[in-house]
Amino acid sequence: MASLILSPAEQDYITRGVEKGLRADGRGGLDRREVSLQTNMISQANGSARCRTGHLGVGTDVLVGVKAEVRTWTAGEPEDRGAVECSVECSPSAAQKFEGRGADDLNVELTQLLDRILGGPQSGIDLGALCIIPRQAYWVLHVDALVLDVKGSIADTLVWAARAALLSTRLPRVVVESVADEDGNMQSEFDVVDDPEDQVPLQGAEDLPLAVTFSQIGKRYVVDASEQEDAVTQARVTVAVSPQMDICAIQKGAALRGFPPSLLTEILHSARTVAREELLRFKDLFAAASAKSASGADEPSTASTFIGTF
Amino acid sequence: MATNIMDRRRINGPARSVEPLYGPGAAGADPFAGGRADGRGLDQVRAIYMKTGPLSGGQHEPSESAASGSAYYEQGRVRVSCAVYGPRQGRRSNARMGVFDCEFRYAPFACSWKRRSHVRGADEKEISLMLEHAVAPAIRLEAYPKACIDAFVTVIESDGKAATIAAAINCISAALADAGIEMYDSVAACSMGLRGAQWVADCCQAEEDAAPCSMLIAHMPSADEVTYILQHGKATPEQTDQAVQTCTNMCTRVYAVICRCLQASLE
Amino acid sequence: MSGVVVTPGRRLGLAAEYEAGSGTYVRSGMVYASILGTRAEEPAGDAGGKPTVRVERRNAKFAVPAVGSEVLCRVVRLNPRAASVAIMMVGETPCQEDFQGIVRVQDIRATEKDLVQMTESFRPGDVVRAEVISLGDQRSYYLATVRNEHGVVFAQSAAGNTMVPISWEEMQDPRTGAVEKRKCAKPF
Repeated sequence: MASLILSPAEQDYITRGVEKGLRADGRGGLDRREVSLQTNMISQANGSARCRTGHLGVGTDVLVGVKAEVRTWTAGEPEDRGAVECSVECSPSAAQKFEGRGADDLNVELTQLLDRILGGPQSGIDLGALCIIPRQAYWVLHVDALVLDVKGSIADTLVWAARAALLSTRLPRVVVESVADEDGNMQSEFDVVDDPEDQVPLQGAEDLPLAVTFSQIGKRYVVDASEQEDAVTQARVTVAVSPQMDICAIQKGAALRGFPPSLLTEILHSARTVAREELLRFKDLFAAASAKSASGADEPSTASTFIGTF
Repeated sequence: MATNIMDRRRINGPARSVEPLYGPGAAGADPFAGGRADGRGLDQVRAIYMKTGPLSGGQHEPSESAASGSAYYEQGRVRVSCAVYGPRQGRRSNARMGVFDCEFRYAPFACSWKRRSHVRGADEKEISLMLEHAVAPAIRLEAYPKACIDAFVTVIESDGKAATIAAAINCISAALADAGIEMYDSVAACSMGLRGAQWVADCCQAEEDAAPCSMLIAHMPSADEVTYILQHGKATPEQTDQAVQTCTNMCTRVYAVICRCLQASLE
Repeated sequence: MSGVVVTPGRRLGLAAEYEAGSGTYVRSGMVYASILGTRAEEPAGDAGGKPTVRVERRNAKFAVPAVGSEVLCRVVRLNPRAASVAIMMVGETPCQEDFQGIVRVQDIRATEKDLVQMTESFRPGDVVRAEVISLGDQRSYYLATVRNEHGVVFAQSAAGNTMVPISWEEMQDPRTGAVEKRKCAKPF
């Protein structure tokens, strides 16, 4: 993601600063930038969220929509479980190099990361509850993310947005009944209740993990690298931590170098400390965001109210 | 026992062989003696066989093939081959540093459960990217400005996804050395799966399906850098810490085998 | 210690005791091998200094052009402003695959650059010795033939015979006697 061209002097300044524990925007090594969260602003999706990392409306911006779909079971698939499918797309509005096929590699990497965090039992979502009738039908949650702006640390923002979207997701209630067919055999049938008031939240969504990305710069590492810091990052690793402080996924990102094992162990320890704070912060922001969307205060924003929220 | 199965399946035995990594029982006392289907110890990697230059004509005969280097790698029933081309003029070039590109393919018959299509799947793209990330830190790319190094990996047989990726990393590493590409160090990779509260090394497909969590680490022992780490599934922080340490140590043992094979290829 | 087969990443010695030769690199005060090959040592020169340690590879080492390296290339295509060439060898080592290069008309000679005619300097098919002056643009390396030793080293006449240089600017077909214009390299 070294789209930014930095002079050797700037690179050196950032690197040595990080090694001394100083960052250009005054943060400490393990501090994140300001985050703002908005939920349920896409009415046609089952759940949605938009998360921005950065100050004054300049920052990484990710929009996530969750759409649920009933899928017929086919042989070879797990019999009594639903599924979560993720896709991430970097919009050309974020950077010129994302035009055409320019974002392919990044899309694959981020999709892979989101899938690794959300696509299995490690996500905490009760996949069993997404099954409607075993061996017949189940829910598929499509988690589709759109990266609208990139100013460093995409992965963290992406997971924040995905977590908020899944927490705000409401599934229509399904009524399963047994009916006898012509031969008198009992058959299960289901009916999706078409009532916007009669919807249920996802089970286990509170257990969803948050991700923390560490960027190694020089001999030290920082959390939530800014765009400039991203350009001098030598190695990057994303750690997903659940509210129970379990580690749900680790994935190393594109990098020029590797980590010394001792640094890696240190990072895994910091991951828990950072994640604990982040989860508390998420809770507050999410509560505020849902209260706002529930009260209907989220009217179409004008330029001034839009900036005002950041 | 495992070797019998292997021998029956292989049609043409290799002319030369390298002694297996760890003989039975070499890994020490196993608390779950006989706990694994193939009788391995918990921290035992399947027997490794490796040969450099099967595609590039080898060291001594002049090469007929266009590949600058190649390697064949076998770890139990995981079989991987890799061809390295370059340094050559690349499509995307960078005036400061070379570019390392990797393409990972499963052979249509590689997986036991289902025939794979010839069209490159999303998972193959993912793994290609992972391999690039894992191996690129080992290559001295600044020695190849404006040039491109390509690695093409074909999985002939797959048995455990994490183990296959680890084998692919080892295979690329050997093929790069065979091609004479300048590297900081060889990369050795190893995978593990969680069974109960215990980490089990180098899981085969059946073991991996049962494991709630798997860990893959690529390590450069001499440079002491972890070039890739991937944890899939949930584990407690203590388990993760333990996995990082055990896996790194096992990488060092795999590294020893790779180095010995590379040395043997020149002697 | 010489003659030992080493693998990439093997420690060869302290940087304080050895000079790092080809196939090696230095990190945190140690010399490491960077390719698979045999270890070789060269004693220190007369002027004193440290012995050089390097790793040798018997089979092909594939070269990449760098600024300043001398290359051997074949002329592929001409236009009045530049000649496109395919770089086949860098120094003494052949390239795995051809690299694209360009000799611009102003880089052919050192003097009277404005009078140089492309068609009187190169013809497609000529083999030219040149120097890399820049890594160039996205596609090609930029080459120059300004030095006396650089220029056409092998060329065929219109009749298809190998020509011999008869001056800095001319080559002659020994059979037909026809003279063609070239930017000739100084023979050695």
